Amino acid sequence: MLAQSPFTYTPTGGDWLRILPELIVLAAVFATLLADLALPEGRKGWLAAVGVVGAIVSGCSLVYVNSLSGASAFFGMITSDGVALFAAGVILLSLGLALLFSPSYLARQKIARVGEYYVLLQLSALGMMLMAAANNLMTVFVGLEMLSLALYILCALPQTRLRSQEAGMKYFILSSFASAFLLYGMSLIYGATGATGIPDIGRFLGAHQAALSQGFGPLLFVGMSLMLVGFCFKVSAVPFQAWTPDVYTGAPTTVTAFMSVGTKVAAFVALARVFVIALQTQNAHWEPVIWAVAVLTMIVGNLLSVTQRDVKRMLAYSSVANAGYLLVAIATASPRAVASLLFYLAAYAVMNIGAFGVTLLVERRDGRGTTLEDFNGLGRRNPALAAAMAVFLFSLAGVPPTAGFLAKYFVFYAAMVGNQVPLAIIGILASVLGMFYYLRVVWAMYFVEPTPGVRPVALPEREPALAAVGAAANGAREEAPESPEIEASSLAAQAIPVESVLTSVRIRTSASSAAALVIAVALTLLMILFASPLDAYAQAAASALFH
Amino acid sequence: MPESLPALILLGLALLFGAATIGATFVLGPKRPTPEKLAPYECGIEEIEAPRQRFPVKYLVTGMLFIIFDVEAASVLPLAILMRRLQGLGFIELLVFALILAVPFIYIWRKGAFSWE
Amino acid sequence: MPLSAFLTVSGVLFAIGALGVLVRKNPLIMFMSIELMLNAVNLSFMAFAHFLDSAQGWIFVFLTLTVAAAEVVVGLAIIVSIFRSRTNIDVDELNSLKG
Repeated sequence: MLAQSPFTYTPTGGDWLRILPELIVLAAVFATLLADLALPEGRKGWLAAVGVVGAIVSGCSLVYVNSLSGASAFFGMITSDGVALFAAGVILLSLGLALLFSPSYLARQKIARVGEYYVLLQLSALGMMLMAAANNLMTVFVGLEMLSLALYILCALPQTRLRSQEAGMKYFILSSFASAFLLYGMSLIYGATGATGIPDIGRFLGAHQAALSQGFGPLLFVGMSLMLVGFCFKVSAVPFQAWTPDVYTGAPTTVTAFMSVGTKVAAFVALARVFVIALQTQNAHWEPVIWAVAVLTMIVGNLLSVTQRDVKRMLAYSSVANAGYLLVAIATASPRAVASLLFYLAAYAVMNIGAFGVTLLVERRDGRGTTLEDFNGLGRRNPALAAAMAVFLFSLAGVPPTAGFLAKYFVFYAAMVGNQVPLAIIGILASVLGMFYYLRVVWAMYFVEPTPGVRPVALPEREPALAAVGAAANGAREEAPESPEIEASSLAAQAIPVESVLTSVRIRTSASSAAALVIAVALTLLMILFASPLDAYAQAAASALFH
Repeated sequence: MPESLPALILLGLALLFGAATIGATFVLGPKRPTPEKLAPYECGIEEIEAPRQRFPVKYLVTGMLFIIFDVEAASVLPLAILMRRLQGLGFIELLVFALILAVPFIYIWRKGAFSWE
Repeated sequence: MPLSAFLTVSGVLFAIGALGVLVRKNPLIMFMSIELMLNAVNLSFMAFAHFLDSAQGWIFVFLTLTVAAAEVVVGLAIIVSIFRSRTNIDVDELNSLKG
C-alpha cells in the first residue's frame, strides 16, 4: 500500500543530544551498578545518592534539551518535544523522591539485593521516560516493556515475603497479557495504515478517509479496540483494574509509590499521543468508549476506595479513581485537556508519593501495619508526620489551595470548555465522594485515640539513619521532629502484666525520608505559586503536539 | 458498523476455535487429579525426594544469561551488515551498545553468576 | 497466499494464547500462552510487512522477539523465586493478597 523508500538514515550528533536526559539516567544506572560492586554491605545507602544525583543532573539537562530547536530524533523514533520533557521532569522528580525514601525503608524491611533495587528503579524510570518521549509505536512498546520488566522484579524483590512474590507474579502475568493485546493492536494499526510513526499514522488517516471504508477500516477498528484494552490495563482503568490493589499492596511501598505515579505518567502521555494525536480523525469511534471507561473508572474507583480499611490498599484504589480523572482529559482530547493532563500528572506525582511515603514510615517491619487503626492518633504520636499526611490527603481530596485542587480544576475546566460537561459533572461528584475516604484517615489521625492492643509489641524501631543525601543535609543525624508517645500494646492472651509490655512504638524518620517529605509537602502546598508558568508550558507543549 | 464485519467474524471465529479446542479437551479428556498431577514437576516416576531440592537453579541462571547474549548477537548482526553505510556514527552506536552490555556483564561477573557453585 | 490467510492464522494463534492465559492455572503454561500471543502478533507483523512492502514491520518483529526473550528471563526468575518458597504454584492458591 505504502511503498517505503530504502532505509537511508544515519543518526547525527543532534539525535544523541535530544536523548541526553535518558542517557544521563543510563549513566547513573551504570554508576550504580559499579558502585554496588565497590561498596561494602551496610553502606549501600549511598547507591540512592548516586541515583538522586543522576536524577538531578538529568533534570537539569531537560532545560538544555528544551532550548534545542526541533524535537524529532532518530528517524522520528523519539521526540524531545515539550510534552516529553514535561513528563520526563515529573518522572525524574518521582524517581528522586522514591530514592530518598528507599534507604531507610529497605533497611527496615530487611530487603536484600539493595543494588539491584536501585538499578531497577532507575531502569524503570528510564523506560518511562522513553515511553513518554516515544514518537513511534515501536518506541512506545519498547519503553513500556522496559518499565514493566523492571517493575515486575521490583515487586517480587522481597524474597522472603510471599505477598510480594505473589504481587510480582500477578503483575507479570496480567501485564504481559495486556502488553500482548497492545502489541496486536499496534500490528493491526500498522496493517491498516502502513506506518508505525505516530505522526505518520495521523497523516495517513487524515489523507485516506475514503480508502479506510473500503478495505482497511476493520483492521483499524479492531486494532484501536485492542490497543485501548492494553492501555486501559496499564493505567488501571475499570474494568481492567483488578490487578492494581493486589500488586500495589504486595509490592514494597517505595516501589508502589513510584510505580503508581511513573507508569501513569508514561502510559497517559503515550495514550494521548496515540489516541488524541495519531487517531485524531477516528475520534468518533474511540471517544464514546473512553468516555464510558472514564465514568466507570471514576465511580468504581471511588466506591471501592470507600470500603477499604487499609490505607495502602485505599491509596491503590484511589489511584484507580485518579486514572478516571485523567481519562476525562483524554476523552476531551483538546490541547487544553492534554495540558491539564500534564498538570494533573505533576500534582499527582508529589501528593501521591508523599502519601505513600508517610504510609511506608508508619508501616511495620513485616510489611503490614498500614490499616486505618495504625493511623489512629498519629497526630499525637508524631505531629510532623501526621501534618504531612494531612496535606497530601487534602490535596488528593482536592481541597483548595493544594496542588490536587488545581489539577482537578484544570481537568474539569478543560472538559467543560471542550464539550464534555456531563463528564466533568460526574467527575466532580465522584471526587466529592472521594473526599470521604481521604478525610477519614485525617479523622483517624487527629480525632481517634491510639488503639491499644491492635499493634503487637514492636521493639523501638532503630533505623540506621542512612543519610543517603547526608552530605547535602548537614546535621542530618538529627531525626525529624517527632514526639515519642508511649503506646500500650496489651498482650492479654499471654497474661503478662500490661506495664511490662509497654513499648514505645516510635516512628523514626531518617534524614533522607524527611527531606523527601519536606520536598513533597512544599511542592503540594506551593504549586499554586508557580501554577501559571507550569500550566503555560504545558499548554504550549500540548498545542505543539496538535500540529 | 458494516465495514468491520469481516474482522468481527474473524475475531469470532478465532475465539470460537480456541474455545472449542480447550472446551473439547475439557469435555473429552478424563480428569482424575491427584496430588502428583497437580505438582508442578510431573514425570510419571515416583519422586525420590522433594522437587524443591531437585530444582536445578544453576541451569536456569546459565540459561537466562545465554538468552541475553543470544539476543545481543542478533542485535549486532544487522548493524554489522550496515556498518559500511553507517560509517563513523554507526561505529559509535556499536560502541555504545557494547558499553551497555559490558557494564552489566562486569556486574554479573563480579556477583559470581558465572561460577558454577 | 492472500493476506487474510496469514491474518486468520495469526488471529487463531492469538486467541488460543489468550484463552490459555485465562483458562490455565499453572503459571508456566500461562507464561507459554503469553509467548504464543506475542508470536501470533509477530506473524501478523511479518504478513503486513510483506504485503505492504514496508520495512517497519520487520523491525517491529525484531523488537518483539528481543522483548519476549527478556520477558522469558524475568518471568522464569519470578516463577523460580516463588517455587523456592512453596512447592505448588497453582495461581488459585496465590491468595494471600485477597482482602
